[in-house]
Amino acid sequence: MVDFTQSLPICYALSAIGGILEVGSTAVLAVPDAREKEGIHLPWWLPKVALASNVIMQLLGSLSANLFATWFGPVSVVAPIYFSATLLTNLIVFGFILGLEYFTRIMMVGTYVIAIGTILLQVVGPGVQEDQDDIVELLLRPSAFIWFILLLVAMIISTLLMIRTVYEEKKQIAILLIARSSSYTLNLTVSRAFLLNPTFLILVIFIVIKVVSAAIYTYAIVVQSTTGEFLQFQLDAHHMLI
Amino acid sequence: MSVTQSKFVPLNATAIILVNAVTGVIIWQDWRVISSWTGYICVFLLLALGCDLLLSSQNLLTNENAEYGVKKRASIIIESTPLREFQLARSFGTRNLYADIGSNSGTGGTTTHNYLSREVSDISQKESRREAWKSLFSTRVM
Repeated sequence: MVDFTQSLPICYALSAIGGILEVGSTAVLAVPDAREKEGIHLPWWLPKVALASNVIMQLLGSLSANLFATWFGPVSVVAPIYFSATLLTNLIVFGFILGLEYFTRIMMVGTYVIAIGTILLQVVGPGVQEDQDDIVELLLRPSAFIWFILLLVAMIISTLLMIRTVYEEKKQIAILLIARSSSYTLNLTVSRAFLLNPTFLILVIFIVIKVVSAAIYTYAIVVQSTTGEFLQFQLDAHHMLI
Repeated sequence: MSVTQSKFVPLNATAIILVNAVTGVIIWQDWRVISSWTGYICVFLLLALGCDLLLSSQNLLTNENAEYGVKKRASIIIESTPLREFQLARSFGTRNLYADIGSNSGTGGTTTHNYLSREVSDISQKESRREAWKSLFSTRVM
């Protein structure tokens, strides 16, 4: 095993930084856009700088939360901290500081509830496990093996369904949820597994899973955000051809 | 068919957190180092409830809400707003609108004054009602 001293505070900090950078990456694009809508003329280079900052912050955020954080603590606490940091930063940056979004009282309470829940998770949740040093041994236990295969199959099938066609809303939400949760979980799992003495073949498989799951997660975000516009675009193109 | 963001985002966060927790227990043997199972389960319930709050606040009173429909939505608005605090009925006097005319028949000036004051009162009541609706929509629908 690569010598990485487990440290819960570092794990929490890296997860939170990932969430903060994720919101920051959106904010650097949103602010120039909002100023342009207000009629303020922006220099030509500013959108390009904003876009570059967006990509860099997303990359750093992703590395911080989805790779480095898993090396210092339990995988299962990374996701809650990451999401609560995202929600809280979103509320603070877009609601309180920039004033670009309106948050109802219920939304604020919901955000605070999640943030408090995440703090409590550190008290009652899993701690560090120094004795885990062989990923093959961990994955070869029947329950772990079945769950890992189940996640892989769920990710592949949901992706195929997502690519094939667009469904009615409830089915589409279900497919997107399966695609995103399975790909995100696999991504975090193989990230941590990199350090636990994988054989060369297993390491290659894990790197492939890491890249593919990240691509599927990103693709699911694109599908989730642009399905409506994409359909309209397809219809428009069809009409133009006719 | 596009996915409603207000529904999807909280559901997505809940699903990812729960699947990760299950993975932690099954693959990473988190069950060995969880200090309190009751606390652990309750924390996840808390996270799910927080996500549900984010979900319901968006879903309840917006036009995207297909479950309730206009009629149900209107009744929810009426029941949950401070409209009842605005007095729509006469708060004083009798139901006989001409009662004060009779009592002041000898003094035309006073009668005119009463009519004027009633008009002013009506206008102010309408203003209040308009203000009430305005404040209602500005706080609930946005």
